[in-house]
Amino acid sequence: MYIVNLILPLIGSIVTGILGHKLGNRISIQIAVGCMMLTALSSLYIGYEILLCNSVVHFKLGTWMQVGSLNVEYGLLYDSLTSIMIIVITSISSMVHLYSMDYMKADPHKTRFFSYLSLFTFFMMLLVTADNFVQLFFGWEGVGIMSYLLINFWYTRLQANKSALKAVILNRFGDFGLFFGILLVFLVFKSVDFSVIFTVAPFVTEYTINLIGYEVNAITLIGSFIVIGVVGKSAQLGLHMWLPDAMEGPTPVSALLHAATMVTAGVFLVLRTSPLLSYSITILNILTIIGALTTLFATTIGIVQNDIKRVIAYSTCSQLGYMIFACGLLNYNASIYHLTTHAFFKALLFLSAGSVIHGLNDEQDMRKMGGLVNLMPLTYQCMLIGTLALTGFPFLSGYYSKDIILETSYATYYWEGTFAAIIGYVAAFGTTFYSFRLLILTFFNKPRMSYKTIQGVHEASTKMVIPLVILAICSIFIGYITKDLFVGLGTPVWNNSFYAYPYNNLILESEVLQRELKLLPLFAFIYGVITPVLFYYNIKEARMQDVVMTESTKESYFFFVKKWYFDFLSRVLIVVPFFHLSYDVMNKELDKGLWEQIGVTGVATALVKEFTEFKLNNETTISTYISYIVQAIIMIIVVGLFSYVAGVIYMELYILIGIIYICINKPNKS
Amino acid sequence: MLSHSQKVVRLYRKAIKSIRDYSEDYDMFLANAGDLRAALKAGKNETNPFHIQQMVKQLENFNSYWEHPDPYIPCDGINGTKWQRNTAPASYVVDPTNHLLEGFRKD
Repeated sequence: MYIVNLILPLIGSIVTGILGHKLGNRISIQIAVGCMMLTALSSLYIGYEILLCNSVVHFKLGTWMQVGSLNVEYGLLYDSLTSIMIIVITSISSMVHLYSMDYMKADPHKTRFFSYLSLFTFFMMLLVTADNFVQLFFGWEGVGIMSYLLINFWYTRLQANKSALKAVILNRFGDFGLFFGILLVFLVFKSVDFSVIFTVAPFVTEYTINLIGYEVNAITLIGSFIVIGVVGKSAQLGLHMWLPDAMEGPTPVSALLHAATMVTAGVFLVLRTSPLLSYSITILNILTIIGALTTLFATTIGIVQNDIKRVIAYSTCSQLGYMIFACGLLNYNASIYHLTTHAFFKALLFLSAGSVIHGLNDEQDMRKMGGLVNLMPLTYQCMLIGTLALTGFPFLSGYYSKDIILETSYATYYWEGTFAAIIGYVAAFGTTFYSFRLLILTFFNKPRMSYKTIQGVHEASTKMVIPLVILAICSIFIGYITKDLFVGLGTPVWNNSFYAYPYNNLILESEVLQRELKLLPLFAFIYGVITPVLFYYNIKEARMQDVVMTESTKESYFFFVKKWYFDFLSRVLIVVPFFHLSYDVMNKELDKGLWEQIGVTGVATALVKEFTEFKLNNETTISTYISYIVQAIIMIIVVGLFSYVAGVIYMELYILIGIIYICINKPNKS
Repeated sequence: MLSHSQKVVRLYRKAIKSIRDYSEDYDMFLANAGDLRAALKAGKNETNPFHIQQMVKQLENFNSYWEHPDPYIPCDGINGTKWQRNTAPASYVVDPTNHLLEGFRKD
């Protein structure tokens, strides 16, 4: 059943992709959706077996490659972490497949879409079920490529091409990091199997690698490269630029890949390699700081965005920062808890946004929405539930998972934890602000769209509503139901899935924090709701002629709208210089310039030119050439005799006589 | 070379679009657009060229001050979210006259 669970999405993808035109759109898509539903059901059963019955499954399917000491086998590891991930992946994917049946109904290439979605699900499951780094890397690359194909689904669109290339190139930086990390792992551990590496890890904590004359701790070095991979895949600060542009793809793609599954692959990698990374305090601190800065950065930008999907994309980036900094504080179970709850309510938000976009004839700018609360009531309710869950409204799923991260971060004994906690509390206010801003602009006040659009506004169809309702129910109850399973004291679920520091008592420390700190997220929520409500209540009286924006205010607004000028700086500091280096210098000056001149083509061209010039300017007759040959023969005989008589061969004498002879008998050019 | 009325109309359209970009409420848009139209109508019958030049300069300053970093683009418009989506394939691919000789020659 485990193999069937893995293979079903691949079968759905092949049937839809290759046999789609033979079977017809309807049947092939139904097969793909059916395969996905079966996968989701089997994942739930696998989760019951592994999580509740506590039986980890690990089996090998055969040898992949055996080269010297490198022995890579096909293997599947179903432990608690994997089973949670496959439940999340398959349930969200099946909801997205069902939703897409109606969302993509009018698209002429929908079979290709379903094929890509199913293939992406297969690669993601391959990533999470891998029992060695090479297989994990295979799935890692696969999801990256599927992300490119899905963002570029409307490939006739130039902007989609650019965004997809941006995604795949920035992900490639991360893949490079992970690849080097895997090579270093093999160098140190002589194996790529997780079971070997994590068993041996405690014994190589003092091992160092000589890097340009410096002795660097091996685990820190390996962790640095793995963190580059995490930063690329999970859109952390530095390699995050691709995530908002990835909204070029259809909304179901954003819901599946860029909210719930692909971007969590980085978090999964940290969790999977936690038995290795936890031995390097440097790496943990780096994760904490990067996660915290990403949270703050993404929240500030999400506040000023006008595209509904970009607001939710930056929200995703911010929540991923929470998960990463929770990992950096050795709070792995809180991180996976937030990953699970976040997947459900973020997918709900994206699919609700898709319903709004679909109802408004593909309008995505919130400045041209409004007044939809009575026109799309079910969509509004689902979006409200998703927003409340995201912002940590008491007793919904986000309340449990986000609060546990914030409280345990504050309860740490070192400054990184306090830094992350403060940023987390500030970001909680920002999250509530932009989430309710989105709700108000989309659903309240007077409609700002054209009369023609208003006439065509319609609620989502059945196949789009069912996933919304299911995800809404999950967003409400998943947090409460699974709290003790994930983060309860003494929970028996995790076992060896990730590293458990025996002196880690953050949960206990967080229980005895000040009462006000526990209420701080609630205050952040209340202020985050009141602020946009008051702002948009008073905005009717705003007169631009009375507003005097100082230069600093205007620049601040531009700074946040232009995404902290990250795109501009990366283009000016990295892209343009490297493009100039690769095209103008390497290609034009060297490849087509110097190497051509001194290489075969250059030598051949020079010789041909010389010979042609000689041929065209030659005035010497054949009789002159015969006389030259005879004179040369006489000279050779004379010098040869002289050498024979003298007893030695004077090579220099030959050359000297030859030069004198040529100088005397220089051909006249007249 | 634009005439004066062409120039003013273009500046006015740009100003209205800037107001639309900043207006997250319909009443706010109406009020500010009304203010702008009233200001332009007030100077409609001005004949002093110096004053006319001053008013045009004011409108230009308004535009440069209120230019939005993320302007609204209609989804069907150029560079909108639906622009170039599922465009028809190039005509030379499907033009049947390119395939007239197929099946004609007996090989």
